[in-house]
Amino acid sequence: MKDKDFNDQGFEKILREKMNELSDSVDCFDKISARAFPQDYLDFSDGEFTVSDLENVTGRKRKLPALKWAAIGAAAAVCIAFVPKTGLADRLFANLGSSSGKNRFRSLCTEITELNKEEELYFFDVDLDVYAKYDVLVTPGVSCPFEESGEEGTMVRVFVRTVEGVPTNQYYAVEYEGTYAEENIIAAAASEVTISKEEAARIEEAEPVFTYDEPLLTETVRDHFIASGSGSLLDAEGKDTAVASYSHNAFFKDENGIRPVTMTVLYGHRNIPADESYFYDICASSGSGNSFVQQEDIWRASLYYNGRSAKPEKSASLFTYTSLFGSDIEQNGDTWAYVFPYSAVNGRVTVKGHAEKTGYDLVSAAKGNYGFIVPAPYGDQDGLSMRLFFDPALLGSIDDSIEVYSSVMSSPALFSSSDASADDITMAKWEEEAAQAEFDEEQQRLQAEIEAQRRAAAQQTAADQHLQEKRANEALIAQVLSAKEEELSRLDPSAKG
Amino acid sequence: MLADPKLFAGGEGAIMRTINNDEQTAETVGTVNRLIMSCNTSKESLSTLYTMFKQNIFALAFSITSDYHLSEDCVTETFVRLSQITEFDPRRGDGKGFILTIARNVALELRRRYKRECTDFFIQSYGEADKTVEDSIFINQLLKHLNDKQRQVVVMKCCSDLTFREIAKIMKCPESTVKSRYKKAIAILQEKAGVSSEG
Repeated sequence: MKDKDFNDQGFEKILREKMNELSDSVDCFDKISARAFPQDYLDFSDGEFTVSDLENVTGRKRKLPALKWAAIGAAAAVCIAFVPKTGLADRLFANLGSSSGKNRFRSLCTEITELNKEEELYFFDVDLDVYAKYDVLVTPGVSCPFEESGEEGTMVRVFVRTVEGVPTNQYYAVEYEGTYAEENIIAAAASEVTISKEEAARIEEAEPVFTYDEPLLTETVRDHFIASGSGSLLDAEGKDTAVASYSHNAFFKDENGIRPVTMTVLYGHRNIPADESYFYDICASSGSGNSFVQQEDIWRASLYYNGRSAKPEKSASLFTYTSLFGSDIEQNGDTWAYVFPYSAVNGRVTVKGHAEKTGYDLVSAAKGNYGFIVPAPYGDQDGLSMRLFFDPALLGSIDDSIEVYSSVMSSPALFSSSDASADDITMAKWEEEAAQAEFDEEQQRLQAEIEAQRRAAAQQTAADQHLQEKRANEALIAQVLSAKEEELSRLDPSAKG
Repeated sequence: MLADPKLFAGGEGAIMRTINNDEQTAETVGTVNRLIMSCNTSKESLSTLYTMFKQNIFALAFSITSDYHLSEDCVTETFVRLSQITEFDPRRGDGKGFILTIARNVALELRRRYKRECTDFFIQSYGEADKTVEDSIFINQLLKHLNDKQRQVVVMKCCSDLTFREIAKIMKCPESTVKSRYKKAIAILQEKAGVSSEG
């Protein structure tokens, strides 16, 4: 680049000139026209040397076109029937035939629009990169349907079919750039599952009940994580680990029908230099018992607007599945404690009334020099069920508290043992301490009352004494005055009477 | 930037004429909107739009992809998509902004796809002709010190003669952000030019 030109003429002018020169060499209207108006380019009837014409010249009898198309159709049917239904085949079919891909994309968009009109979907927006990395916290049990963009501002609108306000496993997702508008849509996806109106009505009539295996969660934490006694939880390898959980209720449809399921997600973060990692396990509880599931590709289609597959070849999730709920490992850990960092205050989900939770959030807890950090579930409702596990030693005495922050908080919310739950021994200890503290407080109150009475009595005594002294003084003054009057009358008899 | 007499859309031929801003707003917006509404059935309308906006789209695409062939593909894809629009609502805004919004989205997607397919994004292609190669390298050198968004703002401002408000609408960000990006970009370019010439 010539800097002299740059300085003399101004880069704007140079840029415009060079860009115009460059774009002048672009000539692609024929290509555009061929794609925009394909019918104009498919008609070879005016040409002299089409294959059909040549065949006629040779005198060969032309086959019926219908026969030719029937043969092509039969061949295609055979291919489709015998190609194994693998992910690779799906991708190949998604990529082949861009017009059919585009049609599938359009029909996906129409399906979403129609359902959304009927208000059977609720939706939320999430940054694509956040979704790809933290899918466990955004849609538990369901992987992100789109490959990472690496672009700032690429968003995903996740639509979830609801029945009676409860989410189901019928999902849709739309990837878009900037603000959500038709012209900004990049890709769309739909899950395999679709729930008909009749099925939805049957769910409502059945009055479903969600079951939740609370003991399994705390027992799993107890078995897999040891409280170090100095504040941290250690995993089986002795690594310092931040552990959290949340639960998510949904109607789940599979080949066995539709049932209410509570997904309990136990997850965590090992924040060790050069060995940072995330792990998770999911327990799906329903009336028929528990099953342990992983993040799964449930998407029947995920397509760019041009019909290409938008599915990631490999999950970009930071979380690695680790069998916790179903594992038989038992460690010596016997203590655990947790708090619910989020609570609802006047319809707002906050950490003890501090700043409102908005989507992606990190929760950190600290006491003294010890602290840990863990990402929170994305949804507000899921956030309310979040539990933050820690070593009960952090709340060793009734006066102890841990400082909890979310991403947007500048000052901490304090959580003490009265805000926490823990194993039986710890709870008994806390209750004893609380009772002792209550007793001490009562004692102090009584002591203070006695002291106050003593002070009042002393003050009364002092006041009485003061009164007596005052009266004695007054008597003395009267006596002196009387003596003075007598002396005065002796010195001046005329003053008498 | 102080605008020179405006060449409408950086176009050419009969469209390339000097007009003032008010006339442009009233006349050209209506024309472009009508052309967009008819280009799915009329090759002539599409051709006119192509003539009017080819350079703008190419420039915007080049600022995003830094690649001649990808930018050319972006021009093609943008007009193909434009030809498939069946329901364009002129009330949604001016057609020029609409077209450049499509172009930007296409360019971002092409860049993303290209990044995935190539291991080294920095090996850009510059076309075949010597002049094309020279111009491509020149522009990339000129803009190399700017970040992605600064490049887009500068190109839209300089090569497409868009106002800050129009750029803000296309980039979906506040007008003040666009202004500050442009100001920052100018400062960087001036600083780099000064350093280079002094050195």
